[in-house]
Amino acid sequence: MPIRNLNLSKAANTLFLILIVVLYQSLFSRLLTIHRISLDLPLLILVYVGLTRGPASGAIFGFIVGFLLDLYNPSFLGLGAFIKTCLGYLVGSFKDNLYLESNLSKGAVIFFSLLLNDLTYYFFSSGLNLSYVFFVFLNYSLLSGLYTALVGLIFLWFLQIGKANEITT
Amino acid sequence: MPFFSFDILARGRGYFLKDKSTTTLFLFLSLSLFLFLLPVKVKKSLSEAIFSFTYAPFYSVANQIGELYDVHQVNRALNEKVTRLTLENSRLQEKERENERFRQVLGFKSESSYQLIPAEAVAAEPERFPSLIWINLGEKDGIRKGMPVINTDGLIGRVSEVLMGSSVVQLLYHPNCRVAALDTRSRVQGIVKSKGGIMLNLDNVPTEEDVKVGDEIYTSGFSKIFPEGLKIGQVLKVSPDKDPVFKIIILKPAVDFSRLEELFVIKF
Repeated sequence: MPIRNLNLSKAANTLFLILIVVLYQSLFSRLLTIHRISLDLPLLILVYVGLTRGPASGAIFGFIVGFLLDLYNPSFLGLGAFIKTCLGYLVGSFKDNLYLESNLSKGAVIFFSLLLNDLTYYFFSSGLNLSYVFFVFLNYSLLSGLYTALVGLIFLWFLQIGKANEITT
Repeated sequence: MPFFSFDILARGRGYFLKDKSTTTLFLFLSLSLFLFLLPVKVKKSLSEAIFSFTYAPFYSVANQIGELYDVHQVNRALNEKVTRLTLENSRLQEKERENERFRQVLGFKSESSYQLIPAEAVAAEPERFPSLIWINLGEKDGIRKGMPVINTDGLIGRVSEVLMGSSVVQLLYHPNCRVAALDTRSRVQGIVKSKGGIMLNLDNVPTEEDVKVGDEIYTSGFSKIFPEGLKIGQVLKVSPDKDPVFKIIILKPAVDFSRLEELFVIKF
C-alpha cells in the first residue's frame, strides 16, 4: 500500500509538472522572454526531475516535455522528444554518479543541458547547417542558458529554505 | 540462506532497475523516432489534435486576459485624454471669459473721453502694404466719414468711406493720410505721413528741434480728425544733415498693420 501511495504521489507530481510546462508555454513564456532570450522552464523542470528521480523518470519526462514542445513545430514532431528523452536519461544518470550537493554544480548541469539540447535540436532541424547552429548558439542559447541556470539556482535556493524550515519545525 | 536469497533478490531488483532504465530509454527513443518518421501530413493532423486540448484552452484564456488588458490600457489612455481635455476646456472657458471681459472693458471704456465702437477688419487691399481696409461697421452702426480708427497698440487710420453695413478705413500708409503729431519727450510737433514702405515719416520738424531715436510720437490733437494722445509710433532714425531746413525723421508704427483684427472706431 505505501509503495502504491508513493507511485500515485509520483504520478500526481508528474502530472502537476506537465501542467506547469503547458501553462508556462501557453501563458507565461512570452512574458518572461527578454529580448528574445527565453527562460527554458520545461528544460529546467526536466533537469529537476532527472536529478531527483533518476534516468528512467528523466527519460519518460523528457519524452513528454519534448513531445509537448514539438506540437509547436509539427514538421519536426519527435525530434524534440528524442533529444529530451536522451537528455532526461543523461541528467538522471548523474543522480548517483555526480557530486551535486553544491548549487553551482546543479546550475552548471542546467546550463550545459540547455546548450546540448539547443545544439542538437538546431543542428538537426536546420538540416545540419552549422553556421545557423553557431548563430543561434552564440546569440540566444548561451544567454538563455545563463538565464535559465540563474532562475534554476533561485528556485533551488527557495527549495532549500523550505526544506530547512520543515526540518526546524 | 534467507540472507542469501534476500541478497539475490536485492541484486535482482538492482539489475532489474538498471534494465528498466535502459528499456525505458530505448522504448521512448523508438517512440520518438516513430513520431519523427511519420509522414508530415499525419504529424500535422496529430499535432493539431493534441494541441487543441493541451495548449488551445490556455491560449483562449490568455487571449481573453490579453484583450482585457488591452481594454484596460485603452481605458486608461482615454481617461488621461478626457482629463487633459477637461483641463484644456476649463482653461479655454477661462480665456473666453477673460476675452469677453476685455471686450467689455475696451468696448465701454468709462475712463476714456471718447466712445469706442468695437469693429473687425473684414478685408484689405490685395497689396503687399495695403493702405485701405474694410471694417464690418457702417452707417447703420453710427460710423461717419473721418472717424479715427485705433487698436490696442495705437492709431491705425481714419474712416474714408462709409457704406450701409461696412466702411473703408484709410491706414496711416495711405499717401493722402496726414496726422498732426508731437514728440512726447520734447513736445516738438510735426506731421506724420507715409512715403511708401512699411515705415512712416515725421515731417516739418526744423533741424534745430530736439528729436531723438526712441522718442515716442503721439497725435497732437491740433487737427479736427484725430484726438490727442493716440500713439503713432517710435522714432527709428533721425537724419539732420540731408535737408538744410527740416529733419528727416523715420518712425516705426506702433501698430502691426499685417495683423489687424479687432479695431475700435473713435466717436468724438
